[in-house]
Amino acid sequence: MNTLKIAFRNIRKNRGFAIINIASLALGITCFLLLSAYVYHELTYDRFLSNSDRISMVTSGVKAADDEDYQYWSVTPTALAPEFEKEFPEIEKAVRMYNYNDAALVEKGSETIKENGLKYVDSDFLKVLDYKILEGNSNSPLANPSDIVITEKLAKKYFPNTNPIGKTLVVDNTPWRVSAIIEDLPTFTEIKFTALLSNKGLERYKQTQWGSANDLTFLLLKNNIDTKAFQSKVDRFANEKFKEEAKAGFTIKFNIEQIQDIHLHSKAAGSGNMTYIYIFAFLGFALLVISAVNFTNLSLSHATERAKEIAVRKVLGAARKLVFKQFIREGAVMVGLALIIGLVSTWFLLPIFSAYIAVPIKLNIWTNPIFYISMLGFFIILNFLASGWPAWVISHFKPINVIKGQLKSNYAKFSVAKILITFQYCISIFLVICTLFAFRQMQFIQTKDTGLNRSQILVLDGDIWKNIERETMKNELMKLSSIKNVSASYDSPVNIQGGYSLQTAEGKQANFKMDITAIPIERDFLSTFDIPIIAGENLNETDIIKAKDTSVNRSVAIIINKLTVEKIGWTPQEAIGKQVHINGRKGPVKAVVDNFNFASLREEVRPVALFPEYNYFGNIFVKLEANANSKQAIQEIESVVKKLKPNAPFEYHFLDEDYADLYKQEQQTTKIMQLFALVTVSIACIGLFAISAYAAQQRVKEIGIRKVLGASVAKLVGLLTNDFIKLVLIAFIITVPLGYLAMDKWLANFAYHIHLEWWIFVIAGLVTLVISFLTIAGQAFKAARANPIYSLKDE
Amino acid sequence: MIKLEHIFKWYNVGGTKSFILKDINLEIKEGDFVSIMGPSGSGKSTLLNVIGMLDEPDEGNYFFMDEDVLNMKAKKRSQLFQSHIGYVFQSYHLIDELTVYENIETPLIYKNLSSSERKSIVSDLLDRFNIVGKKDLFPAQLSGGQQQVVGIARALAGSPKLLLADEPTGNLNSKQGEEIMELFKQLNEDGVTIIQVTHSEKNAEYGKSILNMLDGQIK
Ligand SMILES: Nc1ncnc2c1ncn2[C@@H]1O[C@H](COP(=O)(O)OP(=O)(O)OP(=O)(O)O)[C@@H](O)[C@H]1O
Ligand SMILES: [Mg+2]
Repeated sequence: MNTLKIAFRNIRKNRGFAIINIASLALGITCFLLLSAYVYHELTYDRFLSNSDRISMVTSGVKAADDEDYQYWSVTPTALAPEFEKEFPEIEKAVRMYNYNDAALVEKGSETIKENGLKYVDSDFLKVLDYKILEGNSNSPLANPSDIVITEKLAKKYFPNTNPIGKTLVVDNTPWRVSAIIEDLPTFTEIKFTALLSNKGLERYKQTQWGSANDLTFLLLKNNIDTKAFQSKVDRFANEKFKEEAKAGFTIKFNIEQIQDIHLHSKAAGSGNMTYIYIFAFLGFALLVISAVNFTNLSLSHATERAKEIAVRKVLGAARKLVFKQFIREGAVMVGLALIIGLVSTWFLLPIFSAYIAVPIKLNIWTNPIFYISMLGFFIILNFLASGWPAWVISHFKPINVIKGQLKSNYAKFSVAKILITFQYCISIFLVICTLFAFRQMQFIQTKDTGLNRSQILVLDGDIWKNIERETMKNELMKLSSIKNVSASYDSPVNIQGGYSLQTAEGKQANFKMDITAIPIERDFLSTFDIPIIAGENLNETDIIKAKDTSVNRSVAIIINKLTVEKIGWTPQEAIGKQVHINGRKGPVKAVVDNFNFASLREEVRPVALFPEYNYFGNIFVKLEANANSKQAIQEIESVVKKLKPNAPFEYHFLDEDYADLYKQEQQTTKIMQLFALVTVSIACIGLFAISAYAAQQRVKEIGIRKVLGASVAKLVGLLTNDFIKLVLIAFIITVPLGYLAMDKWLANFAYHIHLEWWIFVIAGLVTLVISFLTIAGQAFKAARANPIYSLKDE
Repeated sequence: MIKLEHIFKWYNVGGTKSFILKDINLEIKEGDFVSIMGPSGSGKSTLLNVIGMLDEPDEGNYFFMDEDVLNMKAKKRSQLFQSHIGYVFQSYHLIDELTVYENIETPLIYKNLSSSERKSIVSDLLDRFNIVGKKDLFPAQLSGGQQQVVGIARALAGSPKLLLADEPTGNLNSKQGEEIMELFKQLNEDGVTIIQVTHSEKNAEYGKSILNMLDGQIK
């Protein structure tokens, strides 16, 4: 206890030193914990389900003859679950989940609210994915065709003051009976919903089929199943099942993926990315090590100041062990304080961090005893790392040398410290390089002309409008002076997903068939998005009437992009008027348009077809005039919409947001990178500051002598900063090739990307160099300007 | 060469001025060899530092080769210092990390001499002080007397007209001290003006004149 008191007294005595030392370690710990929280959050996806190690999701892969790789989907055919259950004894239970349409209108009193998390599921769904049932029927809550299971959140929203069990919830004019309430879903799940509806009444399950895929399928496997063997059985099954397709060149595959691996590893359904997890884990660890290194460097440099005190202690007979202990204790107090500060600031910063990176991280670790045990272990390791070594060095100072004032300890050459500083700078420069490239690539994505004009386009929900209603709305909107155009399409033009195939009997190749992405569009689609027509003409009213025809004479005008005609081997002019088929739709090529990006810039432009088909439009687009006041325009649009659909909620967003959503992961990563690059550079600078302060102090006398010998202030500053600037340069040289490789790899994710411009590396180096110089220059100036008569006073 | 007029220097201690130099008037001609003596704390080092332009008085005038030192730009002053003044310290103040050769070379680097010029000057000095054999040794490998010889050689590298020495023999035994004094005498005969501070009567006798200081004043 007494020694602890002395420890505290010493810390208070050297307040400035202690504050820097504790703060920089606390900063490192905070960053480590924040990043750990993120990594932990990503790694725990869907592990909260009690059977998670036995639950699998079936995903599908399709490959056409000339495809390089499979296309992966999270969805499977309706027939899969029941047939798998019969076919494979490994499966205990198989259940399906099917999207209720994305714009369910739910009644709450006289109000209708749009909900988009409703799913149809099999009656045994909750036996496989065992969410916690809080209230209601916990045995078979989905046994009746009108059963609905809702989450706590939805229960509170629609039944704020009553017990919802047994009550009716009206969805799109159909009554459902609430049979159970389940716990809200955590943020770390890939299977998101707000309510589960019994699928018993659905027609689509009466006659299951293999021909199309729209259901998620989950399996509960029996214990101890050899997943590899099971997978190859499934592969054999799929080969048998899709023999005919194989002849036509299509390979179809079903993958059994463990539910907890979906998020990070599934190509079909995962929204995470393991690479980023590695990056962040490394980053967190590196920051921790860097700040521990700083702690060591700061302690050591400070310790030499105190060397005399130690020497006296040693001469007074304090055994080496005692001195060692004293230092360990002092270190422990500081590490302890840093750890507490780090934990507290993590607690406060986590919500801010979570908002900053737009990942809703919520951890329930604060009540977990394992967390505290690991923190204790962490404390012990950190303590040995950060103060064990300095303590050892200090306790081994030779008292005679110290008292003589000849403190040229091993540390005076501080080669280890220099290596550590270099290491810190390697990481700093690497991060600065990554940050700059990521920033440039994001900027490139934002500004690249994708061949489709996204600006000033408002997206409205399309599903709630019947054709006639939409036409009326369009006519009303077109009357407004602020609106330039109105159109609609199946899915978002920045992310067209429909997989079709195009056939044509005309031309050189008979029975030519190719994969093509396609999208049903409304008449004015091309003009709304300013997509240039290279040959042919835009759609007109006659095309629409022909396309709406339901008889055998139906003819659908087809618009294709330049790449498609090139692949077929036509010129754009030749293509016009050629008869083509797209999954049963027959018609002439009406126009050839210039290539435009209809998916993320990670992918090359592919062949695409656009055709008028007024069945389902998910999105309505309203293009504002360039000079329109968008706030006012939106109000005008709202009043038109409200007039036509008084009960429907008015929701809108800008198309630019859809586009930005395609790069959410990259944005997130870039943001994290930026933040931690800043932190890393700061911590490295604190370290550099400490070590250079120490060096300057070691060289006071030398500086004085040189000054008397005629050295100018500039020369002396150079002398003092030189060594450290050299370290930064060495770090730069080490890091550039690594940064080059890493960025080369990262940019290869994008089919469209910036070049590895050399000047970005130079800027990264310069930025780090200038910051480092400024960090140490102040002290160097102070030392260089001091009057030598003080440092050279003879004793 | 040196002319001091009414030089005062003081520190404020608890609101009252504590004088260290009180009305110093002094003229030193080129070729002089002056020894300053006096009890500890009488202001000898302070006076030497003022003469050596390392310290500034609070009042008075100082002319060095007819130039007003106290009213010139810092840059000019450091030029003047660099080209005319050499310093020798009681505890030698050699740079531990540099060899004898490099120590002597240092002031020449700051004078921006080319490496061949430096080489010939340093070789001359090594020769003149009989330390050619020691040129690659580090200060810690030399005796005190030898270190002081190196210190003097270094002070002379820039061929100064004025050599200032603050107790140059203070850390040496009498035999070593005598050798240094002989060296000074020789230098003075070669034309170098020397001002030395010393506590030893015997060493003071080497000077052509002796100044006695007491409480910041010259007696
Ligand atoms: N920064 C300062 N503040 C206050 N007094 C000072 C300061 N520097 C020097 N002094 C005082 O000035 C006086 C003269 O000091 P100086 O070093 O010139 O003496 P000295 O004659 O060289 O003595 P010694 O023979 O011991 O070297 C001393 O009394 C000293 O205490
Ligand atoms: Mg003195």
